[in-house]
Amino acid sequence: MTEQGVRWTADQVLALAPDAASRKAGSKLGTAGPWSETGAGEGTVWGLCKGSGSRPYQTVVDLADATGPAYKCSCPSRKFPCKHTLGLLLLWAEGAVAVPASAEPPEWAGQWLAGRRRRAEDRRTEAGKEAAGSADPEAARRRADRRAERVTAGATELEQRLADLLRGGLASAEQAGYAMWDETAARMVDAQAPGLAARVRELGAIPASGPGWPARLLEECALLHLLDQGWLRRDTLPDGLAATVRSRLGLPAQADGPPLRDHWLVLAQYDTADVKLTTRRIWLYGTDSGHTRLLLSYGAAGRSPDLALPVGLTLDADLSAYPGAGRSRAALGEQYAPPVPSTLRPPGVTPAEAMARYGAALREDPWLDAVPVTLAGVVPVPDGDGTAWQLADTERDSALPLTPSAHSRPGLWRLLTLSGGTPLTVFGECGHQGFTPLTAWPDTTDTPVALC
Amino acid sequence: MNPITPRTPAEATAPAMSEVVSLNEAFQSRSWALPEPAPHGTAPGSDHNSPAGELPSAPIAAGTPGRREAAADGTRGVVAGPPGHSRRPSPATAPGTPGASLPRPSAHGGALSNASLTPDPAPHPAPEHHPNPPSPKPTSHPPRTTPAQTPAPQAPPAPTTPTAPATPWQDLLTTALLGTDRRPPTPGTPGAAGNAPLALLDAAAVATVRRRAGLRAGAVGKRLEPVAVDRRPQVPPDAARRLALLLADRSGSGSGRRGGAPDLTELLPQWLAAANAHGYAAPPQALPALLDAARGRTDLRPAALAFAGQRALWLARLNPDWRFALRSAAGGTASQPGSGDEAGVRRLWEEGLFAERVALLGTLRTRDPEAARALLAETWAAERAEDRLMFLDSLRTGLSPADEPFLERALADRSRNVRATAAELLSALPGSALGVRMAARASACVAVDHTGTGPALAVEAPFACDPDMERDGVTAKPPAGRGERSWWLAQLVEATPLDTWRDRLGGRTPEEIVALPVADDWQGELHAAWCRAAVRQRDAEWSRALLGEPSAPEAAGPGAVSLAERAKLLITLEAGERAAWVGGFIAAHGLSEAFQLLGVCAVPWAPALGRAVVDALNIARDAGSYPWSFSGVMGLAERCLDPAEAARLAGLLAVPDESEDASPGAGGYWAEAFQRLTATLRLRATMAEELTPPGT
Repeated sequence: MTEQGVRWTADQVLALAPDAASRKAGSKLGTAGPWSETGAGEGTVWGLCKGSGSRPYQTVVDLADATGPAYKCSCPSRKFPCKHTLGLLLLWAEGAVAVPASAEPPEWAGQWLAGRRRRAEDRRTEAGKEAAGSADPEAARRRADRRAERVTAGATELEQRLADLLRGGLASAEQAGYAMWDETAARMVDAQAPGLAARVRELGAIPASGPGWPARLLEECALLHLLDQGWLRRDTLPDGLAATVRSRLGLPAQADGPPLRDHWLVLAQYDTADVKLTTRRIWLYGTDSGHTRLLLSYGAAGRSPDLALPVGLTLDADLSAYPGAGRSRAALGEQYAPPVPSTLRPPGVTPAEAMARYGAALREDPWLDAVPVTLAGVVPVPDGDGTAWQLADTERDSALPLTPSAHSRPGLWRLLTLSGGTPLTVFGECGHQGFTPLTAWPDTTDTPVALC
Repeated sequence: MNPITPRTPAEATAPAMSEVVSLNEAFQSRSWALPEPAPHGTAPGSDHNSPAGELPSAPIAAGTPGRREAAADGTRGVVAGPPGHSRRPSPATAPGTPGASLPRPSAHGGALSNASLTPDPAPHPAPEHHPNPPSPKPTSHPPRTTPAQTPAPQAPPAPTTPTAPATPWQDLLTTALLGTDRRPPTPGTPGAAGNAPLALLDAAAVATVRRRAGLRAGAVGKRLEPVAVDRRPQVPPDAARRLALLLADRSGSGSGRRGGAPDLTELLPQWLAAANAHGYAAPPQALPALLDAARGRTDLRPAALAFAGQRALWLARLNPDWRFALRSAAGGTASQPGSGDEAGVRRLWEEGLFAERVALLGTLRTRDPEAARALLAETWAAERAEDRLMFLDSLRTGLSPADEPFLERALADRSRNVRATAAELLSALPGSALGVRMAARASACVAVDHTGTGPALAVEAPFACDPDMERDGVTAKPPAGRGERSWWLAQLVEATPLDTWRDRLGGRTPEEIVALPVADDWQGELHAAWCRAAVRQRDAEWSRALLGEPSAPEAAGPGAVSLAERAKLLITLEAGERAAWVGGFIAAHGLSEAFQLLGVCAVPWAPALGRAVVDALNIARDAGSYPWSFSGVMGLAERCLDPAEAARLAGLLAVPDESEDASPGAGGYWAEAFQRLTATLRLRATMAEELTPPGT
């Protein structure tokens, strides 16, 4: 991989930042001032950054690795990647003036890179050996059986708890508060059913979620019950649905679908974070196949997920689907070329069609909250008293309300200003709560604007 | 949320309308209406379009009876044609065994494209989560045609004859809230026998999925008027990205040490000014952040709003946080009548709000000073005093002798502030009658005295403030701590045309007059009054004389002319002369007093001035002080120094060896400050480059 063409965009670099503070600090260092001896080549970037101390920090980035970029910086920061790394990459993204292409990294960078490449090589041979050696199907099956037993015990217990709740009435749940749900969720974690645990935890928040909570709570309890029953009767389910149940329960699965090579357009990328984990969701659209797929990437708290694909790039790569009917998750396989900016916009549907799509998708996955949809030719319109918004069909009298959470995000105002009352194309998630806009393509330009 | 309206008997017989789900409560809107029920209970086998294997064809929830399914299946099988795949029998669905199929969300035949593109006029089968264990009801389902088969299905809404009452959502919810122990299910409803809570959950699951699957897009609210098309060219992409970075930084300024990185917030005004100079349209996605920034910083507002254009006003009408944009723009150029529209001007003048009228007068005054004055004169007597003051102020633009009669009349105004402003305007008007009157009064007070060793100025301040003087804008009562007579003298001299003095004081040039000694400690008072006159009359010759040589020792001292006054005098000079004077001042006196003076110099600084500042900073560093003693000048330099100077700073970036008398660690801090200066200069150069239209 040689220089030019593969330089990242600034957005792509900033998406690596573990938090907003790092993003800002990195942007400040993305100027030529503090940097010296910068260079780039063979998928690596290096430079010396003048900090407050007498010795400049040595910063190296290895972008060539298939598993995601690797960083090294001699600064003491515990952020990962640190601001120096981000600054260096921003500078590199600006062009060859700031960070010239050069063939040979300096010694301090070369050592680390050589070490990394050697270890990666070792790992590959090791992995090859392991794949051959650890193939003990008997043991693997025993492990899977043990886990299934635990999950079954957990699901049975959860059924019991739900029955008790309904016997006593949901009204009592309001008084019980989080404690009851947290305890149940902990039991589900013990039962190795993280999917159940997450749903139970969310139940705990519903009684405090405002008017109409009993209906919402009953809906979610019912779907949880459905999931329990799905697991307990998984043997009688068709394979696709059984896999969906397994994935909803959070059981591990291999992305063993056949690899599908396509030019994947990045539709949206957004992070959700809880105490322990940052989850990054990346929606991709296959420009040839027409499929919409989801990549998930995780990062421990304080670290950004490795995968960073800013909106508007296309990626010539293989995707392999995870099992489960109606599930769009996939794993990124081999990438044939670095991502390039694209002016493509995905074909869109009307609000009415989007809603029908969600309805149809429920047949394969009744637990589905939303489906990815691109709406074409829609305008934001105030809904009711003016605090709520909807996306309206320009020709027909049909509109989708935005989800309550979308109303509190700054992206809403970006959507409004991009539209200015004129139609645009919007990608987002459409479900029973409404539509969550994630990316917009105004009709005047081809550049997509992220709303999340 | 999402109450399912209870089914009325009429609806029960017309399944197509049998369930109307409204999310109104959830969204306080009319967005969702659910005209179509979700026919989820259909048997899997009848979904002819669905690829085999994708369908959940086996029941997974227990509790609701399976016989109902069988019945439906049978019906459907006949009506809708051969199933795509065979239904797998399972213990749970064996006839007679309680069991419900997985709620089937869609009856659209499984093909998304078909289902979604064709309105589905065919009524869907009645919801089937209400069980009827003992007697499978003879529901007749309408033929479920897919668009592929029948482009325009004409299926009649075949009425069904339900034999059991429906279990509406509300009933389920009530039971769930109270608990099945307290409100046992009525016979014939789910859970009447067996595990009541779980049966309730079964029914609720079916209802939930069918409600979700049946949701349809709702009615459109009141559409917005589209914003006018912005015809200005787009900002180049790199510049747009830079703007986003500048805007993203705004929360961080002022917290903590800045280190060697530029302060992006301070560069935003420059960026906006440059973009406005190029006449670019703002990138729409930047507007929310830009409006937020302008909300917090009033100094940014004019440039930000000019850049943001009509779209910002459109947006501000939708968000109360950005109301300020509407206020600032009230009566702005957009809503003003054009140059030919006299009736429009008159109407706005007579009916507009105060801010609109001030703006109108200002615009008109720039375009046609005579007409503006005439407009003002018409309603002058009827205006409030505060308004008169503001309107009078608008006449400052394009002031000419033609305004004199009007201003003379204003000298008789009821309001003292209006009188004073009129007098001030008249005194700035060359050859005005007021100027002549003032000159006569002031001439009587100052004379050349030849009695001493050389010529000197003798001052005899006025003994009284007569009504005529008061009418000409002289305030009789001095502020606390000032003598009456010196107060009156100051006002007379200030309002006297400076040309008067050449004739009065023996044909001397301003330099010579300023150089004359003044008797009896009147020098300070007299020179200060001349300074104010020079500023008011924009007299560069007198300003030059009063400023004196920049290198003169008294220039930095607490002399007759204060720094603030000097800064004002400098404004009357040409930019080049101004920069040269300040450069000379800094070379002679260093930076400690220079901040105010630098503030009035044109940006970017002239090369000589820039060099003087950098040299002075270098000297200050060598003198061993800390850089934050010069943080004000440093900050100004970051914003105002010509980016081309960055190269000359290269030598200052290294940390010097510490000399014995330097403050500890100062060298490192200076290096950092210079690094920041260079980085900022480079960034400004990049910014300017990015904003240059491609191809120029």
